[in-house]
Amino acid sequence: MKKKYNYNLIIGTIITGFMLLLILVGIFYTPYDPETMSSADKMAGISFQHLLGCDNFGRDILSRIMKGSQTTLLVATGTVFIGTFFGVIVGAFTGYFGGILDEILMRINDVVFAFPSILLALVFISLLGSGKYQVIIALGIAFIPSFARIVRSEFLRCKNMDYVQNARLLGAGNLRIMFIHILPNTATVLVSSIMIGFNNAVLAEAGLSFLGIGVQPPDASLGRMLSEAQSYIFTSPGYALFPGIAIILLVLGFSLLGEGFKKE
Amino acid sequence: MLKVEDLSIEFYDNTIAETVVFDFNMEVKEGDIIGLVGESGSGKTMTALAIAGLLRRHGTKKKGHIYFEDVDLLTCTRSELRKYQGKDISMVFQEPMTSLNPVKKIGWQVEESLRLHTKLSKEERYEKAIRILRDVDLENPEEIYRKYPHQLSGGMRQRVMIAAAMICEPKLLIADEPTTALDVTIQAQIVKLLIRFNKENHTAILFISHDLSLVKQLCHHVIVMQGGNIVEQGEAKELFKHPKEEYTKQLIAAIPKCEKPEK
Repeated sequence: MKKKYNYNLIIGTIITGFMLLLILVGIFYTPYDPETMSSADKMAGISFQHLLGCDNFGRDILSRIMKGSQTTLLVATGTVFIGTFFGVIVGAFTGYFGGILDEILMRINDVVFAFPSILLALVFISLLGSGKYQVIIALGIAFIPSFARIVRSEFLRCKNMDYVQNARLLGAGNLRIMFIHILPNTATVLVSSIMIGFNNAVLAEAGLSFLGIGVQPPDASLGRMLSEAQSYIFTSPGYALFPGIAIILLVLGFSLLGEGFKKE
Repeated sequence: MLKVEDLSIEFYDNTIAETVVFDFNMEVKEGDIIGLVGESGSGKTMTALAIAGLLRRHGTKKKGHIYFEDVDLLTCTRSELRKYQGKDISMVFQEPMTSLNPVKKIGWQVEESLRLHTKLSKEERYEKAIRILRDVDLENPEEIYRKYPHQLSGGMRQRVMIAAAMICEPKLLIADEPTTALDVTIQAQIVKLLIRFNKENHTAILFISHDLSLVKQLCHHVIVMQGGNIVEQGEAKELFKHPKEEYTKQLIAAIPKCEKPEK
């Protein structure tokens, strides 16, 4: 029998695996210290000493990408976690109970949703100050509405199903029905939206850092590196190119994985 | 045990109130099998849902009383109602294909009411679940315990539903057209199963159907409904032999008969 390969899943796994490996190795070992400057290596090109060259302070770009992806991954994971957690709670309650609670929460949701997520994050950052954790909170809040909507629509679909009636009949309470009987049924939709949300978070973090209000120096992040590289884009294109490629790989890997899961 | 007095159900979905059940009266004693028959839309399912406590609280107006062991299920609090649901009153639905949660294993679903109403350990629950799965004539209960609903056939799922409903040994089982979606041979097996539970555990059964030939085999007492009203009720044998109302006669005439074709 000829097996049909799920190329999305395979390629996605390879790319994501590669990036995760890079990040994991980066936790324990980087070729150079990502924050040590060396005036001798300023703008060094690609060589065996510095595989991807050096930046304007003579810091090794490969090491900085390894550290920077770590930060980006942390921010993206944290953002998606906050967004999913509160999104699921809001979506579950509004979808399951409906009525006035639904109206109030969903209108608030609409207001938050109407702002572009970067703009909203800007507002929160100006309130909270900038930094890694502030970015996570700001983006997380901006991501809640999209998850809430998805979960709500799934709950609306499931709440009148026979098996939910059956659970109610067995004497299960509302919370038990919501989170033990219905929530697992939303998994397929939730997982792919988590993947998409993760990509958006990576891009949003890169965007914020690019604007200089995200992760603060000396912390490395992919967006921060891009923004630092823009003044040297013609003299030292590698400086801008490699962090950019890293962002592309991270996002591409996860969106392929998401697509792959959907097809499984 | 169960006493329904002057039950009326009204819906306010549209601007005009619609009454779907008028002054319904019924009494179920331990070990009774009562048949509730009537055409589609005659209010039999609504009555059953009201007894099971599944009618929405908004948009419906219920009058009358449903006494279950002297507690009025219509006016008691939701938490009080939940103590009875699944433990003393349980229900089997018409559609076995959608009544099981597609992402949970059979064993988990059969055990659910034990988890809600008893404090048995995991091993005791497993034992009980296996025993009840064997009781409903499923082969290899250990294997079925670990399967997902989509791996079972319709008849098997309906047995699983009955097992899940019977695991707490309820006093009243409401079977809402449990055999409609199944083919005839499976129907007969399910009916036999219900009779066995009735004999062994003295479970009272409220059997809702529009299939009179099944009701004739199974029930002691029959209530005929039409348009939300009780048209006629009485002992099954008597009712089938000497139907009084025109509607009952028509229903009985609709049963296909096995007779030699006349030449």
